[in-house]
Amino acid sequence: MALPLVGVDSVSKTFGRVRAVEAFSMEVGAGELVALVGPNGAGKTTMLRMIIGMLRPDSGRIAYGLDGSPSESVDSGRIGYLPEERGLYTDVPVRRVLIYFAALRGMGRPEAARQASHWLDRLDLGDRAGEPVGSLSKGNQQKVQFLSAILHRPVLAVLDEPFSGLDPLNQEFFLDLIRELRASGTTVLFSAHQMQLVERLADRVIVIREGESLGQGTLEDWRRRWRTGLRLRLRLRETPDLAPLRSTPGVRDVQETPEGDLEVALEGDGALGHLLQDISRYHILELRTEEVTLHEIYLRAVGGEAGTMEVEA
Amino acid sequence: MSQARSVAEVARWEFLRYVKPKQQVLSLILTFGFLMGGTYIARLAGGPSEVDLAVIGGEHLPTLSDGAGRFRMAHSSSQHENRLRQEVEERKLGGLLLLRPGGQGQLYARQDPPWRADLERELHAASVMHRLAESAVSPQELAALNAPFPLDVMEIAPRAGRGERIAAIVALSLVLVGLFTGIGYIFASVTGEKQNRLSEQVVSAIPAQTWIDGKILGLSAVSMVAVLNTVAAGLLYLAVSRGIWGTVIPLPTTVERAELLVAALLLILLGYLFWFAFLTAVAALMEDPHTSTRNQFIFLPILSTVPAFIALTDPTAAWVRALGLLPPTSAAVMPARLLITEVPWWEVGLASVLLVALGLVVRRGAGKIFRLGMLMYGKEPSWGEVRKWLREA
Repeated sequence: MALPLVGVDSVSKTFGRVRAVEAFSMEVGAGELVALVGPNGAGKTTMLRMIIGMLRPDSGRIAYGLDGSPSESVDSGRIGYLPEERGLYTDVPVRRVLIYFAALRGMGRPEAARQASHWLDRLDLGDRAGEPVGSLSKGNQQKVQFLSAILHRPVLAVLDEPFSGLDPLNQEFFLDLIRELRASGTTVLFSAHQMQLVERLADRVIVIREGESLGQGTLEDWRRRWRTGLRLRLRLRETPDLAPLRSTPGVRDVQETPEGDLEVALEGDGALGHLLQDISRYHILELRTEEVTLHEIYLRAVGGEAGTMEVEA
Repeated sequence: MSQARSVAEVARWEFLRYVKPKQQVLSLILTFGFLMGGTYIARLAGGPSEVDLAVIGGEHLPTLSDGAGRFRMAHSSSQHENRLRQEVEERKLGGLLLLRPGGQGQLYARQDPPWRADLERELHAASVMHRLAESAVSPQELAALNAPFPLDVMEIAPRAGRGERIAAIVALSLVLVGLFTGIGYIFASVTGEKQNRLSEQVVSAIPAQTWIDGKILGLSAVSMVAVLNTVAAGLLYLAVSRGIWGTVIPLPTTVERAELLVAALLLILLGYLFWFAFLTAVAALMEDPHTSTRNQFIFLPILSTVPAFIALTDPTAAWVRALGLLPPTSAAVMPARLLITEVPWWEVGLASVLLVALGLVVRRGAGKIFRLGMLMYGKEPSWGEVRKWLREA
């Protein structure tokens, strides 16, 4: 069995009377792109800070396999960290800031300078390298912030809310950047609130609420676990009687949209067959299937329906 | 990366961030300018180098020469008194001297002049010569009568000479220059990083103790550059003022004893490291240095130098010796003592060891406070929390 890059085993952390993380376990394998999602105050940042070694767990253990061999201590040179609370030395030229942070992570200055030039050119900031960071636009400062976390080519990049404060264009840009980072061999663990971005980016999603894990898995795993894999949108010539439809086996919900369409939520195997039989007596103008989004799953997961989940051990 | 390399990286960063060649040159020029300007103003306050005086009644003091000291005397008669007084008022003359019989006189000047003491000295000398001429006593006999008893004093514990005292005052002033510089940069650096939310990024890369160690070393180096810059400006001033005004400041004999200078410098540097560790921790506890009541702590290092200035008057007093041994006052008192008096080497060694020991304790405590203080945004931790950090971390 391959050694995970990070293995979190039943970790807990309390601040005063506040229980931030409780018996939390997770793993991040090499090459993965893993998202940690949860509401504000769920314990995401605390968990990430413990993984990068900034905070010590009260109990439990975190093991690392960053260099291929198991270790109990974190090697900061192999980890990149983008904190949620961001800031840069605004009075210092961009290139010097990047080289400094890479050097703190153990990269030699000449190599750091080469990497800085490469990435700044890649992000169209090559001609601004000698200017103070404070002279850049907010979007460009966020690019520099991101570079300062990954310039030293970490094995694992831990990104706390990487899309926070970005406009839609920059969100797309950072989405591509993170994919590029993974393609270059860096494993990525990130937290986010933007479920549509998480859905497009993450291989696996870990949901945390009130410091406890609500489960982890791929999007397909989540859909299966919630048995909410399919949603149907129907446009019929006639106005159907909704009551029999709602009692069809496998139909969880039927709603009429303002446009006059029907939105049918299905769950369980064979539900679609039963529904098609039931509506065959109507004249169907349009039928579309829609998958349940991560956003919806997330809302249900953290919104109090956790008890219905089959949480993976 | 090794801890030493990380410390060096942070120290280098802090040093290069605050020491810029252009600013250093500008600082040197400004300091030199202030010294030259100050000297020029002081010389102006002493009055002109030559003073034109009109003298009426010069016959009552014939021994007063026309070129006594800095004064050029022009003799006149009483019928011109009003005109001459007018000329004094119009600044055409420095003053009008009216000499009367019986060794009395009056001086008309716009205001009480800065050269009055010089004139009184010249008049006294001329008066003495005049009376000697009238009596049977020769100047040689008078000199013999006025000569003090030839008593040779053999000093067992000689008091410092003027050169030594000047050197000590200059050294203490330089200590203050370094302290003020360091305090300014520490607060700018630490609170700036907190306000710019940089702490988390740095602490995720290196341990907080490494960060604070690098900061202390880097900012101490910045302070030493400020001190050296002031020294360079001072040396330039001495050379130029000597050329222009012939000013000669006596050099202390201690400059010939390199070991004393090295010991004094070492103690001063240890003092910087001690105070900068302390102040870095204090700065980490502040949200905004302009509004925080904790900025009062900056006066502590300044206050610690006060006993050193007092020590110049009696460097061998028991309390001065004690403060020279005990940190943190030893960082200023002992260098001052070294420059003005003989200090046993065991005292220098003990003072250094105690300063290093307390410095290490403060560094460790500062590292603990710094680690948590730098990650606390939005509010200042209470003293209770700080005590808890020191116990738990």
